[in-house]
Amino acid sequence: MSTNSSLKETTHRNILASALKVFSHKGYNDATIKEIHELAGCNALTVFRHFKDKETLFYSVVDAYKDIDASALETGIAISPDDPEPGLHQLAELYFKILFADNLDILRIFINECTAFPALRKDAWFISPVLQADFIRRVTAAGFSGDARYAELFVGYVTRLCLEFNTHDRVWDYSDALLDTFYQKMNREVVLMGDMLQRATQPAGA
Amino acid sequence: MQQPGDVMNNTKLRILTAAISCFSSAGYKGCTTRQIADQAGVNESTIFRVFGNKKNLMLEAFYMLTPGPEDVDMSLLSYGQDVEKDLRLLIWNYAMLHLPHMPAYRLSLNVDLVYDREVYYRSFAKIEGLISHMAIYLGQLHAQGYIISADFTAISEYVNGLVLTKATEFLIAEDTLGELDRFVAKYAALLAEYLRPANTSEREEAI
Repeated sequence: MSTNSSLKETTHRNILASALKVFSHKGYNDATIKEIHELAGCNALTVFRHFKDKETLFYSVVDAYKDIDASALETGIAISPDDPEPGLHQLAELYFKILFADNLDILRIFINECTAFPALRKDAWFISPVLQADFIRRVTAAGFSGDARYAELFVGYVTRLCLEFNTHDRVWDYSDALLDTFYQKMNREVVLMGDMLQRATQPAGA
Repeated sequence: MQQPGDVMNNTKLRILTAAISCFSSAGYKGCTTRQIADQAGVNESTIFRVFGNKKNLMLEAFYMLTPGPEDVDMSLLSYGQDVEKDLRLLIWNYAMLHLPHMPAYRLSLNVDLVYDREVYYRSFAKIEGLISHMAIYLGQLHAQGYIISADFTAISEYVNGLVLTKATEFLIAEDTLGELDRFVAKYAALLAEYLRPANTSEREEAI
């Protein structure tokens, strides 16, 4: 009996994972149950036994993947009060990794479908607030301004870079030179952010 | 009296507008040239006569309807007299110019869309243009001593990154313009704070 229910659970997870891929790559309209059940290795009937219809499946995917794995943020990265740049650099790379490697599919779904599914609004950019809070926590620990606007700028830019990289990666051949370009871009923003934080922390007129 | 050319341009514009709205709501594969023709109020064969094929129609639509730096209204800027007000105008302009890019931006995220290279290239070339445009304006303000020296390209990239990621939220906001206003005011204030010379000596140094 227990094997049966765990098998059922595995199938459930498989369908969700396949649906995530298909919805994010094709968009809701172009995605078909056929592709999803083929990718999941089960038949169409099984999909409908687990999820009433395509829309239910879609919302289940969003629910299942909208939470970020917070353990990814538990790292030893610390920002130095005298020179915030190296720490900010590591942070940018960490956020890039979390967005790009771990959450790109669901992020694409949010961008693609938010106008067709206004209900997604409450979850939209679910990752950003988590990363922003992390940013604020780390810069205030170093004695810098905890102004949320810096966090938004920083996370917003990394997100944009990540989406742009995703397109490049697919459209042009992936290469080290491309990755270098992105690191150079990121580096400029890190230097600017370090400067902004330091300037904002200085007492007026100093 | 309407010239034949005007009629053609008018028809072309109607088709392009219809195409943008169809592609952005239903996706490239999700809408047919028939639906676009119906929405534009033209015959389907007109689309093929004017644009050749569906792919070409999509490329033209995104190219024609996405604005570039030439669409920024510079006449309202005070050129340094009020840095924060200028920044507000600039950011607001960029945000408004970014919104029409969203359909192209979204299409380029669709992995299976064969033609995304061109859409991507055309749309993002204009966005790059907007970024350097803002950087040049800030550089001019610095040359005149109104703001401190900074990496203006990096500032423009920050603003642009935020606007693009926020554009999704604006599109689904209940009060788009209100939300946009608050957003613009918030970041104009932040950048003005950062760029404003702290005292006269810094101001002279900037000059």
